[in-house]
Amino acid sequence: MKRMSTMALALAGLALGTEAYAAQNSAIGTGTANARIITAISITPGTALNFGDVVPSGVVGTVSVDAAGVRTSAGGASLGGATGVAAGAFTINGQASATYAITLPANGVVTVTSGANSMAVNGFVSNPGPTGTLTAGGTQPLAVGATLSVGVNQAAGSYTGTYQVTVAYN
Amino acid sequence: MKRRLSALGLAAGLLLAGGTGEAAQSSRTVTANTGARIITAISITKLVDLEFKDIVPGAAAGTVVMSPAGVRTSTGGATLGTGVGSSPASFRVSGQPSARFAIVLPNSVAVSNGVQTMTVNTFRRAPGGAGNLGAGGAQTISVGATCRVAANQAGGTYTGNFNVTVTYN
Repeated sequence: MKRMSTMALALAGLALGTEAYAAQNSAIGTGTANARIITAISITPGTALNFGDVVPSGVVGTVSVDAAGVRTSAGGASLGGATGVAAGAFTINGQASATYAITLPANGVVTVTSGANSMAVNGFVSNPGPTGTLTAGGTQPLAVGATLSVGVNQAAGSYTGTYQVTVAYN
Repeated sequence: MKRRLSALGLAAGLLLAGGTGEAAQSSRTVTANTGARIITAISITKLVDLEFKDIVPGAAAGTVVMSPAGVRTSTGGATLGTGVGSSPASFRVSGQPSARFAIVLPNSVAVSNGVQTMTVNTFRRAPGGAGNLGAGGAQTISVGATCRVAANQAGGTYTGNFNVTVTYN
């Protein structure tokens, strides 16, 4: 009986030796792979960017509406009635707390027209910008302002146009 | 009992030594080389996890690839979200200086958000070829892979483990 247990011990020793040998020749490392699936980002237009009434003169001028909706004029343009003046408003929706980049129109891209007449809209600004961060609820309002270039004795009329704002996760 | 056994063992050892000496007197002795080298065991330690970071699923299935160099690209309906903090995995292999070793990457593993899963496969590594521990006895391996994103894949953080095996060769 005692002899058997000695033999068993010897065998166990051999097995241990083999395992140790294998462990010296190779090793296994474990890494973790992580990915996060998030909600697609979207942008929905709300209030239009509106410069209100503008009075031209014999000198060129500009009317600006900033992202807070505050209107100012420069040069030969002066401010008329303020009814409807507003910054452009958008709602961004997407992944909670995600950050995103905002791309506004470059100068020379956007015009507003009234029949054959046109004015350039440049100097786009936004709040937030140039990047935004969605709330814990996955949303954020975006306000956009710009500057309207008013020509000498710019023809009267209601001028309209469109502009594009692009948002992308960054 | 124990004492007697060890005494016997000693006697046997002496006898053997004597026998060897006698044989040497009546025969030629040749010297041959023999040797064994005891080397440091190989080991592998994870330094950085494989992070695909944010993926936006689409109406069609797609993939996001993380290259061993850390470049993220997407195909099909999947597009890239925020990549801040994305990275290939990296492992540090240590062992005998200048030893070469083989590296085995997984074929495919699953990552899960607890309910849904995605497949991560097409594992790639840098450097390619056989590993070489170099004079310093260590080498870092970068590992990238492809994450398979289903159409309208459910949101959430997906995680899963994978093994990298290194063996002296």
